[in-house]
Parts: sequence; C-alpha cells; structure tokens
Amino acid sequence: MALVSTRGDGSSWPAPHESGHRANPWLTYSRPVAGEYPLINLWTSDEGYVLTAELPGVAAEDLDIAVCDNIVTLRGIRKPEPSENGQTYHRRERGLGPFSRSLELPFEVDAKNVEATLRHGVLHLVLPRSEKDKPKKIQIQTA
Amino acid sequence: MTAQTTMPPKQEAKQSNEVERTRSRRVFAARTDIYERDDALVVIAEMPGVTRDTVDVTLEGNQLAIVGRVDAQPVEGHELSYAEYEIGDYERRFRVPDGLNADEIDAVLENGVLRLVLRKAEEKKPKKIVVKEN
Repeated sequence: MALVSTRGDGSSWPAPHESGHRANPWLTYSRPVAGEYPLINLWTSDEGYVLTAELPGVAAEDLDIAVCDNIVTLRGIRKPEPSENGQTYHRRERGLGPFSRSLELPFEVDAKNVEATLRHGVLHLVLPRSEKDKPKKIQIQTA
Repeated sequence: MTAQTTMPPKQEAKQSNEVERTRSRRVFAARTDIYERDDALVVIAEMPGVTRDTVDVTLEGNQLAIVGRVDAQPVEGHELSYAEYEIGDYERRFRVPDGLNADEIDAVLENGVLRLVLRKAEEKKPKKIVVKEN
C-alpha cells in the first residue's frame, strides 16, 4: 500500500518501503508538492512510525493532530506578529496562515498510544502500529 | 487550505568568509522577518531545534550575526526512510542601521523562533515635539 497525500490534487508519495530509501548518508531528500506544510520526515520500525516536522513559531495550542484508522492529519495556524505602532517591514520571509496536511499510512494506527511532543519548534509524533495490524508473535511455552 | 504562503525548501546559508567550520553539518539560512518601529528594530528568525544554549547572537558595529546549532539525534530503534527536510545548523548575518544600542538587546527564543529587539539609541529615536498653547 502506498503512502499517499490525501490532498485533492491527486499527488502521491512513494511509501517508505517502496522508495528504496535507506538511512543516512545515502538517503535522498524528496521534494514534496509545492506549498505543502509542514515538511515531514518519517522514521520507521516494526512497531510503527515516528513522524517529525519542523513547525517553528507554532504553539502547542495552535496545533491539532487527528488520527483516524490509518490517516494522520496535522492542522494548525502560523500566527502573524501583532501589529505595532509605526511598524515598517524591511524583510518578510516567514510563512503564515492556516495549514493542513494529511497522510495515509500503510497500517492502522493504535490511536490510544499516539504520543506527540512539540519542543523548540519540532514536532515528534509517535504512531504505533495497532496490535491487530502487527504480525503475531507466538509465545513458546516451556515445561 | 487558503492563505498559505508557498515557501521554498530550506536554503543553504551563504558562506560569508574564508574561515572553515569545524562541524560537517550543513548550514541553512534561517527564514527571517525584520521590521522597524519607532524605538527599535525587531528581528524574528526561525530556527527549529535550536535551544537557548545553542544559539549565539552578536552585534559588532553594523553587523548582526545569528548562529544556531541543532543537536538532533536519530530516533532510537528506527530508520529514517522518508525525508522531506534536512537537519542542519542555522546562520544569518545582517547589516543593521547605525545607532542601535548594543547593550540593550532583548532576545527571546520560543517554539524555535528567535525574537530580537534591538533598541535605538536615544538620539536616534524620533523626537515628538510638544506644541504648547498660549
């Protein structure tokens, strides 16, 4: 199953296991569809994924994370600076406004055990694979 | 979603001098807003992953330098298998106007955003003339 962007423009990304990407230093960086925010990195293991994203200036209360089956949605707002008296801009490079991005994962997420931390403007989102989607491990009983 | 600014991916910082760095990490230009108000110049730089202990701000004459180090560790027990952004340090240099008070710079780092308020020296502030009425 492919990891697919659920934006209406039909864009899609290759799933991690299909892309042939390996850990650094040979990992190639993928360009997402222009305008996608935030950019994400995915760390994978048998237990599930860890998604990281850079969200500078976004406070925890301005970020909404929703998980439904195998769809993860990040939604929030990059707030503008409050306007001050006699303010004249010399340079404006930072983006602002609302954003939303959804990902379809190749497994069902155990929503109860999702953990999200936002520290120093970096989101760290732990997305465990749900128990029923995991390969069963058979316990061997000893006498 | 609307009202979303399309931003290019991170851009590498310009190498400003011949001195070589001791870290082999890539260096990106922090995305920065700068505005002026009556009493100060305000500089807002995005440096996700930078902490209070890994940021350096210096004002030497007219040159403002912002340098931030990112000490990100790989996620334990996981393999990075899909990446859209690269992790690196941040650096940015600006030529700022004369007459800023180097001893009076407020610097706050919050959610990976550095906010500097560089106060103008007294004589550079616009004087408001009080008109008296007879």
